[in-house]
Amino acid sequence: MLKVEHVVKSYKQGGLFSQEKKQVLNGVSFQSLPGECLGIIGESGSGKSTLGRLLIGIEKPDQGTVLMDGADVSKRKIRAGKMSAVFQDYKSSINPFFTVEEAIMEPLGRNGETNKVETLLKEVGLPPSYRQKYPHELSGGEVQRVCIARAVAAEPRCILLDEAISSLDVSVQLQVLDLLRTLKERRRMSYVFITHDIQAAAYLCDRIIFFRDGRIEEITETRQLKNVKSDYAKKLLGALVMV
Amino acid sequence: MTRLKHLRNDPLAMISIVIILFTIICGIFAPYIAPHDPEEVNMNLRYAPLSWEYLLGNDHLGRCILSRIIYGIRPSVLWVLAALVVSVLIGAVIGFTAGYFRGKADTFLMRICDIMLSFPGYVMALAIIGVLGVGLENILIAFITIKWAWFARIIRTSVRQFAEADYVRYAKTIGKGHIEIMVKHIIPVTFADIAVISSSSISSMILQISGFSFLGLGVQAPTAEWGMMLNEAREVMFTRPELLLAPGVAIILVVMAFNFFSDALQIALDPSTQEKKKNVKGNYLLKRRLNRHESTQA
Amino acid sequence: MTILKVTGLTILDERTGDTLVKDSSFQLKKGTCLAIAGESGSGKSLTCRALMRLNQPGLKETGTILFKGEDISLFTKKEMRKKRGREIYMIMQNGMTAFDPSSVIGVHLKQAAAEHFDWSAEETERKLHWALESVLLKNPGEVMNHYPHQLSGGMMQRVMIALALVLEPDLIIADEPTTALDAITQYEVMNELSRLRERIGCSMIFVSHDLAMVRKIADELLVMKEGEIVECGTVESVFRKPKNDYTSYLISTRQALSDHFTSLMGSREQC
Repeated sequence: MLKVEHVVKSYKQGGLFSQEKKQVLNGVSFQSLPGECLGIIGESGSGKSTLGRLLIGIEKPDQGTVLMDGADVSKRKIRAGKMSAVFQDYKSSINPFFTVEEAIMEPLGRNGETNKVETLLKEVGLPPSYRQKYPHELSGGEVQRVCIARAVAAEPRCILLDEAISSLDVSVQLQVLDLLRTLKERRRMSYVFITHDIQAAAYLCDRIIFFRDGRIEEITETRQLKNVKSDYAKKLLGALVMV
Repeated sequence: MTRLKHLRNDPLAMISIVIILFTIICGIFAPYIAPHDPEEVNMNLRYAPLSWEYLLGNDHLGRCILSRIIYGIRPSVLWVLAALVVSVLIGAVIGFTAGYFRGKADTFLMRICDIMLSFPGYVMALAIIGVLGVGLENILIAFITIKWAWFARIIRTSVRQFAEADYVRYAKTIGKGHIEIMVKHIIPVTFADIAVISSSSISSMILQISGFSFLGLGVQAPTAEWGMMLNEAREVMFTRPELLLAPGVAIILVVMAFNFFSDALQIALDPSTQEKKKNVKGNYLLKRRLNRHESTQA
Repeated sequence: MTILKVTGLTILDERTGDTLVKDSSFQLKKGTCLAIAGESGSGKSLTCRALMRLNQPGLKETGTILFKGEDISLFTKKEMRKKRGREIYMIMQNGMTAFDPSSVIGVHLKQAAAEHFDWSAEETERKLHWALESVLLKNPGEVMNHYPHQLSGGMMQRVMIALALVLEPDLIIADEPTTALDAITQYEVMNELSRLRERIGCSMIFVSHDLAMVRKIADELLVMKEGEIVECGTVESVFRKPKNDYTSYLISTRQALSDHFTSLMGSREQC
């Protein structure tokens, strides 16, 4: 399904004439399977957000390829209707000038049916009266629900969840995770879940990638989480067990 | 457009709109509205006080002040507006390109803007007039040349701020084209900023055009223009101070109307300020920043 | 001995007339840690800022706050400023915004020390170095020469904790100190916070929406919902037997996440 092959990405540092480059991703390769939730865990500055931007094709890798069913995701015709995303910052994830209905209709295009909005809202647990609301009238959890409804509206094959629950309260995090779980089972989509929260990743994902300094440290099945081999993964898990 | 209806609940906005529309209509239909020929000299009526025939009195050559004010709308407001629209459009195209695409396009365009901005505005205008010759149209060309870079820089900053927002990233993810993203997601949110900077610079442009007329570089003598009327009245400031009043009040009214209109527009356009109008403060800060920018330029 | 006693604190938004915090009363004994838990918008941050007298002018506060037996609303602005930092210290969610971005960390730290003590330049320098080292920041001299935006969130919080070590306040208010951090850094900062308590023996008010954090550090727990205190008691008793439905809901959601994780990890011993 999504196939990442030897991806390298670096950013220019400094001013106009500076040649200095900072390598953010360093030969990353992995593959996500249809209907699977793949977790990517890393600390801030590990390059996981950059990886996220490459996965949804809004940036191109310097070397290597990101393929979706064999086609390059950086071409927008390829990812239209197949890819979707939910981001971290619930304050800016919906255009402030859009109502909930307009936001959910966006991926459906002009010939979308408005009565679909009601079904979708129901699916994410919001009353139909929310159609005419503006994002600033919603709480963080509600905005993320609308974003999820928007993400599944066009029935994509893969959804990127980039720290999608990190800015929410713990109690709301669980609700959103449960919602994502049920939607996945119902619609047979695959998720790529980027996060720093191991517990949340373990709750939702089937496989987990430990990511550090632009490299993959280890890929493990969530069921096999207790048997991780790399030192880094052990250290991360160890920090949690202490609590 | 439904959002514009919110303007109706704001009395200040409605008054501003009425003043602006009234001024523009008067300017366009000046020959039908003005009671007299603005250039008709009548030495018998020199400094004549207000009368029923000459509602605002007569100036030092006995010309009808009211008619001159009405005809003066054309260079002072209408042409300034046209110059403003052109420079905002150029600035917007460049600002949007630079702020949205970033990278090399951004660096290149912004360096050009920096070069344009490094010339002091008045010197640049004088140089252009020196090359092209004296006259209103050349002043307007000079205005556009000076101002576009300034608009481009500010619009670019505003666009940059929103081009990284998550909803823009989302639109890119689902494969929307750049043009569609700009029209649907970036223009509406930056429109308020553009409206505010345009309206706050229209006042300075009105004053600048008067300044050039005063130097004898802009509108030529017999033609009516508000700044020039002020200048003519300046000579008799102490003996006939009332002559300053008509053009002065006209300038103040129009400038204020534009300012209040832009404030109201910003509040009306932003859905999150409709019930709690707190953003007025932010607007004020933006304006102050712009004014400071402008004063360092002059 | 009670260090802080709050009675009937009510915070009103004067513009809209909304009650943001309603008649809340609690007290804090010397040397203990009180946690305030609740979802966003429950009024926990407002309560904290009221204790520091840092709320915006548009908010009207009623009720009394006694700090060491003195009513804080009777202090002059100057006295209050003297107390902030030296006696009541605040650690905020985002350390970066707490510092002026245009000068280096060292300048801020020295200023804060000079505000409250008459130390010589060398002594200040020495104490700051010692404090930064003891929160496990290697190379304190270099850290002090960095600008706030050059440090990571976790490092900023360590700097804030180091400053508390130098100032030795009587009461520390930590307002969501770990929320903006990575899971891994969170645990490290939490460790530093508990060590800080042991070292200077201060009292602490710890605000968080994450009950796992609360359980790790606090002695007593206060649960707020929509501006009202719905539960209060010692941490152990609240966790074992919550009286309020809302509290048990908060606990169960947190538990569901960590239970799943421990069940995954738990069978390690058996392997």
